[in-house]
Amino acid sequence: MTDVIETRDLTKLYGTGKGCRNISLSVGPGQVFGFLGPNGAGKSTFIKMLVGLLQPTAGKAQILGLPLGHLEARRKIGYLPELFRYQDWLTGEEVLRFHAKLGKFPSNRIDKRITEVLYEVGLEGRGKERVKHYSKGMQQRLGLATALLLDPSLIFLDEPSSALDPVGRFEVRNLLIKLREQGKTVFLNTHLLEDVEAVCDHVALLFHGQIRQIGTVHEIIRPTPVWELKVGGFLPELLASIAALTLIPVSLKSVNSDGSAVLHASAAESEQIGWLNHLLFEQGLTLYEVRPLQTRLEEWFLALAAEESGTPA
Amino acid sequence: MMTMMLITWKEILRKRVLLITVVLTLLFLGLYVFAVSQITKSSAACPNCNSLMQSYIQSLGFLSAGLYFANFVVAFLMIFSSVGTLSTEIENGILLAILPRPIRRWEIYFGKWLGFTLWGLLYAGLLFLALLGIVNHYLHFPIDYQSLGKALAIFLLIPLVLSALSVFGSSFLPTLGNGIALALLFCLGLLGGLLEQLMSLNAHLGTQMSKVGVITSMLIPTDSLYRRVTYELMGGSDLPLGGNVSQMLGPFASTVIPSNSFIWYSLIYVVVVLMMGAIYFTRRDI
Repeated sequence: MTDVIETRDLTKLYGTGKGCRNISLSVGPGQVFGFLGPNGAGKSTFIKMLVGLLQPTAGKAQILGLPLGHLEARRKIGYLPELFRYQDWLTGEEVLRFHAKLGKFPSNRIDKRITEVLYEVGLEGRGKERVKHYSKGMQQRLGLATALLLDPSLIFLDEPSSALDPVGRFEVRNLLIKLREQGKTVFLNTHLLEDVEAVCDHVALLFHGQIRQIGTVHEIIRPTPVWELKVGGFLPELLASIAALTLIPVSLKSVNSDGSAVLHASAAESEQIGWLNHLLFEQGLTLYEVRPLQTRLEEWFLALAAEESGTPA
Repeated sequence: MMTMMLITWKEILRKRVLLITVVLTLLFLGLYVFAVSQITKSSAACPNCNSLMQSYIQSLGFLSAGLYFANFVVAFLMIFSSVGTLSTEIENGILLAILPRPIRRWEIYFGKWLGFTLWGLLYAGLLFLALLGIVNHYLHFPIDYQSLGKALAIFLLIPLVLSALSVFGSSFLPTLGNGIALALLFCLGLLGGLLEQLMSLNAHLGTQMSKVGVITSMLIPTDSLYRRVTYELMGGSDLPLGGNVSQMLGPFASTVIPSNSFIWYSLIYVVVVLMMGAIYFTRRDI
């Protein structure tokens, strides 16, 4: 089966030199793809090219096997923009009906579908109110409803949880999980790393308009498990001999005047850590605590961002 | 395209453009009726003062004056109702959700233009007929269907030109910039036309100033179209009105009559402006 999104060196440069350049990625059917990056990295620019709002400067891309902007492809996508508004003189239902007509949704099914999507985003019973009376969070939910309206197979969500309170964010996360279970392909721009950790299969980090890292969430979060060891009676000269004996990278994170220290060791296998514990014991050190460190996405994100800007994380 | 046109009508209704327009138009027509009825009273007091021809010229003058101000009303209505139709929706993000839908951008462009234009044509047509009815009722302006039909058709070209320009400007200018540009362009057309009319009465200045009039008419044909409307109301010069009719009608007269070719130019102008706007809007980044 062909990829749902496939881009090759897709580039959009503005007059200021900003934008995004040489983005090559593939998103398979049913994947939830997280697109991360700090503000101004070019994430929205990339999405806007994919949905046909911006003309690429260079490169190629296909959506659902069709060129960018193709009407047939646009019929099968849903898009929640980051900074959007709906006509505030319409009601929520009227906005949805208008988008259903633009999307040529079968007219005999429009009312039923509107009821369904309003329920899905938690706006049931509020559809007859004018959009100008909606809170920012309700407008965001209406945006989600509009993105889901045509029952698209590919959904682009640009910061779907912005403007939502914690309950709203939780509901959006559940909605994303539900979409994944339904086999929808989701391309998610977000700053909320816990959303990415919770629902994404694949992730890419964009920095200064270029992809710095791309892969599965599992690969990126845990390249090699890191273990933290708190020991007593530590002497700095022991470090080199420990590393030589164990053949695994061991680094000193902190040491106190009373001889207590914190060590980090990268080990692919748990047995290696067992062996390290044994050696530390043999060297006369006291072992207070050993625990695996879960490299969370936030740490990865911050480390990469710090690396890019040349400052320590 | 139909969906966009219908949503534009709904916008006109919901934003109370229609309501405000109807109320203020009734005020405008009320004032007009008042002025015309006063003239009727003064004429009745002296039945032998005016000849039939003078009465005709008087009624023609009133109709021309009414249409001159109606031209303003239609122009500002068209400009201000449609000036931000694309630019505002780009600025506030409404189009971000609409453009990725399976609809071509030119359909959105023409749908919006059609929505405003049909509304403008309906309004301009009704206003023209209302003024004509008032002058006919009070001043017995003769109804010649052929010349009135031509005058109405040309009068309707004014909102057509303005809506095309407004939606075109809205495709690449910010709302405020587009509004200012259109208002100034419209006034430039008026000034150019007025200078051309005034200077044509002076043989020494006529040639140079008529060039100014031609240039402004090419830039925005609305004033020249109005001049052609008054010409058609005079029965297309078939009536023996005499040489001093222009002086009697004052600034509402047409001493320099735009040709049939100019009418064609205006139609082509609308098509070209619309095409340019649609092409630009289709290619631009949002």
